[in-house]
Amino acid sequence: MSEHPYKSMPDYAFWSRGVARPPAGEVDPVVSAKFKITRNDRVATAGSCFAQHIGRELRRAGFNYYIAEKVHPAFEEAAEGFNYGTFTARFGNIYTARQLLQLLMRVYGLFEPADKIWEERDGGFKDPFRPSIQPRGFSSMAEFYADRAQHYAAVRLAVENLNVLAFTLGLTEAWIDSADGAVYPLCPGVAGGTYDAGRHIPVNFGVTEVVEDLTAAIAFIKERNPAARFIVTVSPVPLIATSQPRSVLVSTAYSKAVLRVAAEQVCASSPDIAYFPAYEVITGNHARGSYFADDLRSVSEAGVAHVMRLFFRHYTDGEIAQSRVDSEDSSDADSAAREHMRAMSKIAEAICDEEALESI
Amino acid sequence: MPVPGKSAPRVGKEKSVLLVGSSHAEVLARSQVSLGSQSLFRLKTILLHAPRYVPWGTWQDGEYSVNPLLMADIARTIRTKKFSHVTMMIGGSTHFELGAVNSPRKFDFLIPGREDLPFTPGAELIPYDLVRQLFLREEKNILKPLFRARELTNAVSCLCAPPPVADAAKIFEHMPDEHRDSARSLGVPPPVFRYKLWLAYTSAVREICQSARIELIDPPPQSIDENGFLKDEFSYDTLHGNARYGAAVLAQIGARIAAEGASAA
Repeated sequence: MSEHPYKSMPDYAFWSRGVARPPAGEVDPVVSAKFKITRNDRVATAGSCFAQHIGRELRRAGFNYYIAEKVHPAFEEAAEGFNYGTFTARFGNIYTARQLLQLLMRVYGLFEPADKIWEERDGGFKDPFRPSIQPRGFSSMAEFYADRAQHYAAVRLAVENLNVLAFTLGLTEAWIDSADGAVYPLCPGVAGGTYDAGRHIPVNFGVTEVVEDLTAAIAFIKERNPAARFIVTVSPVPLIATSQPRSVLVSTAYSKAVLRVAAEQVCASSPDIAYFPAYEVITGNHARGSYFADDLRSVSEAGVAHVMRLFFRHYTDGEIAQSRVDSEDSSDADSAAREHMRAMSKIAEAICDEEALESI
Repeated sequence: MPVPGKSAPRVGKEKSVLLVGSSHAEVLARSQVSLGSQSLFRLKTILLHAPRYVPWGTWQDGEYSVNPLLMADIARTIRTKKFSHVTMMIGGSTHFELGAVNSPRKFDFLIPGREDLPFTPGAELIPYDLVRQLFLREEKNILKPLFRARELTNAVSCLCAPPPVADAAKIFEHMPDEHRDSARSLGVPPPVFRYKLWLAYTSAVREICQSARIELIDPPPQSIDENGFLKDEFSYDTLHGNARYGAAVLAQIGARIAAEGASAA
């Protein structure tokens, strides 16, 4: 039998040895990592909802999940639904590469969309570009603009100080404002705003557009933070609905294919940009669909655990310190603020006790 | 001590009120004693800091529970005695804890519709809804005895905590020694910040009371100055009203009972 290249190839190159035979939880398509992340590296996250898992698991494992827009310690207990810490800043889900690029331009004052603020029927105000960032929107126009300025400052801080950005590409479909091309995360009317068929246009980005947008976004960050490195993933979560005149199943296949090709091309362009195959781990045949919940969309905890196991195995030195508290959360100011709240509680208690003792 | 306002209605000594609460309720109980024969009604108190109930409420694993003994006593007292009215003044210190002394991470917020109340320059903005959420979460739990009372009788009210005092010196006057130095180094926020916290707090309590169909009795108008602060002559310390304040609140309760009696007639 003659020699051929496949004879010397490792197990991962063969479907039977790399995918079909190993137990599902041990399938490892990562193979190698372009760079390593240390526990001191500030790792920022952004992207579609799947990226939320990455931040959460990084923090749980004791890595430095970078939160530039943190909840004030006095309000931690009440802040569920306000999206502090969901991603590095309160930008909500960033589904498309164009949305990421426009966010960067907005926070640096290079793009001011015509659609600035949505006044809702209940009197609240919503940000067209993060309409679900808090349960009832903003309470006043003044609060909306003040919060947006604070948010923009946090994003700039993150851009200039992150060491690694983990970005998850989620969708190719989006809705844009025909006035200036501003990309919405959700179609106006869904989580706020009013849909206007004459103004709000559905788009479905192709490979070239996604590559250009993601490349431009990475270049934008690199310009302000030359040492930044990037880990790109494709969300395994299917589209919840398609704006295209076809089955959502077909649109999902198209969207993921485009994103996967775009990710490949962008990651091939630089040693500082790595592709991490979370999409393949979750959707691969080895999992037999078991990494999706009953709705066939949500990723199960077992799936997330598999992804993160591989992430830590390949992108870190394996030094997972379960007990370490996230260094950002332990900043001096926050520790002092927490201690201050405990002291104030004791002071109030003491003053109330004193009042009660007066009666004895 | 001055007598309650001249317009205080004569309620009748056969009327009785159950008052449940902590330090703020203590103020009222003392005022009632001081009023002596001029008191408008009989007052029965259940004080949360009584040794029998300590601790009367606890947080554990994110869940708040009220001492079952307290809940049982409230229910038994309401069932076995004929009260004209049940009123409660529970908690009322969260706004103080947040705003009496500057946080090392200085914050502020904007109240919708009150753009006249300034924002602290350089402070971190907290969304108003988050401030509101904090108070709602806290008060929904500590007001559980109030909800229990409402299940047993319609004649239930909640007494609003007094507004803050404008004078920052009062904050330090009653502060425990061990905290005074660090509090002085952090400084005291502007009075308007403390007032805003009190407004947000009372707004949350009002919302809770409305949803439970319980009347919230606001602080006596005569105790509040033109800027919304508790007048010095009505304050005991930075957090509590004095006996005069208590007497004014008792007069409000009396008016409430009289109104209930009139509508029943």
